[in-house]
Amino acid sequence: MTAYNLAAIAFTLFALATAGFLTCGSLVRMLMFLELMLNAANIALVALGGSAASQAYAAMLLVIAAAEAGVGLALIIALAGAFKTLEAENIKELKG
Amino acid sequence: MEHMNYAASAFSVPLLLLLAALAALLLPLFIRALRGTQGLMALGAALAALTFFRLAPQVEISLFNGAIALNPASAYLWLFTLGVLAAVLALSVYRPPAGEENAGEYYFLLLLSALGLMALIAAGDLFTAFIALELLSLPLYALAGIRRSKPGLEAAYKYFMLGALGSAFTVLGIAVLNALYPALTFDALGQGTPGPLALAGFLLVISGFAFKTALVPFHMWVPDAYEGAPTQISAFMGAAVKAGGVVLLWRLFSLFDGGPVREIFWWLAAITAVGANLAALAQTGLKRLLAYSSVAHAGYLAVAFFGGRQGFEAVLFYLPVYAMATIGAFAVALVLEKDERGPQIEDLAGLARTRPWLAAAMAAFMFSLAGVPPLAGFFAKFYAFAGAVTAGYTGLVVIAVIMSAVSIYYYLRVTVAMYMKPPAADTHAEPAGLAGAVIALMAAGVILAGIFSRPLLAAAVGAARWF
Repeated sequence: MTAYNLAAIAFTLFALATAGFLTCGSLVRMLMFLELMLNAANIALVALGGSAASQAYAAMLLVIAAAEAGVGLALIIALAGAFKTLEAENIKELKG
Repeated sequence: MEHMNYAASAFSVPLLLLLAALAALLLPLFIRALRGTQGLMALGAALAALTFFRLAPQVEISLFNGAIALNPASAYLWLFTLGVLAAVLALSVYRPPAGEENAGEYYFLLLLSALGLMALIAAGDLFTAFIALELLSLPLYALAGIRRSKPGLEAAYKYFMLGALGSAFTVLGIAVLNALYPALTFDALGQGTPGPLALAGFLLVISGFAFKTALVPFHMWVPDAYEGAPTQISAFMGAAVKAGGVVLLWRLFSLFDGGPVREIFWWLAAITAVGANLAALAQTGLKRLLAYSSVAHAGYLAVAFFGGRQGFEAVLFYLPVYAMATIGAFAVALVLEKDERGPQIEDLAGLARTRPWLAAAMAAFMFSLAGVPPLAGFFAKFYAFAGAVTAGYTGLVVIAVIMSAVSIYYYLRVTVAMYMKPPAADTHAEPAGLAGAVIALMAAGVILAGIFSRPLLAAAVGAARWF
């Protein structure tokens, strides 16, 4: 498997995850699709980038993705407590 | 040698903020007497940083292999960041948005976010800029929902989901660009004309950043986030996050002399100016109105890009002028707010009679945002559009000017409510205190920067040469 196959897989994964993010209604699933997107992009970075810097970028992006997941999960837990639901369509206090 | 001294002293500013952030988070855990003083600690640090700040020598200092670039332009924008931070901290001390037990976290996150903006301004390569943007936005997601109330949490999750979606696009774009260019520094990215694949990478990165800057059609989160977040945080989002996004977009925009990227920016600027102003017409809540107004101003800033160097001078003049009016307007909303979603426009009825000074300041902010001379907002818009006209983008400027005229209607509606309508029965007079000081300073700013616009404009022109 060449780097380009790997990149193709990464792009496909990113596209699928984006489609999933936009169509699913549950916040937990949206968060999981977000993580998939970030990780797919990270795979593309590792597959396509040959330099040592790219590998360092990938490691830093893992940390960013983890921080993102941490904030997201914390928000979801707080939302579940306040709204008693995690379906996006039921969380509508603000108009818009 | 002197330059390295400058670099050391420049770094003391973010370090001071970082120390203050840690102190606000940790010290009250150990020293009981310090509980409730976190806001004053943070405000003291921000004011001290403002006082000690000195503008850069007229050179560019590149550090960490080009990842950080300190120059007069970044110094100018750091000063802007510190000013915004100090104002928002003062508003937070005036009325703490978080409970006593969350005060430490609140100031910690707010200072971290300001640090992210400072890093973003000084970033010399795309990857550093992305990390800095994350440092700017991640704390804000939490800050928007720090009250754990329903509106706050809804605001936070909408901001988080769309912000993270933008980040994912940016990362994919960075992955593509990283494969095609030898380095991700802005200098390296500007070499040569990009091929189709590089163009796709740039578009991914730009759309990711457009989410954070809130250009139409990437603005869906803005009205809800501004309405549900604590008003102090809405002010910070409007003034600081916008500035960060605009600086980043300019960096990418200025890499291209023409071609599809400019076309895309043309359309983004045009539909942002049109869409945001039309949507603002229908708003009844003051915070939502200011949210759409902030989207509209992002559109005008994007129009200013087309003026090239002269346009960026205008952007650097525009940012502080817009920030003063927005922070001032949010401060007025904060003084008047009875619940966390902020006052409705009709709640301002009769304010001129009950609180004449507050009403006068609010009128100044509204007229400045609308661009009525002799307030600073007029000159900001004038310079922004003049550059684009000189560069031959008359069509775009015509759209922006027409939409700017439309915007007068909704800004005027606020003023009409204050001056022409009888006061509501239950006018409760909350003393303005520290918020009053912020409002007075911002009002003085928009008036003085309008009547005597030369010094600020000269500073902006001097700084713009370095970007």
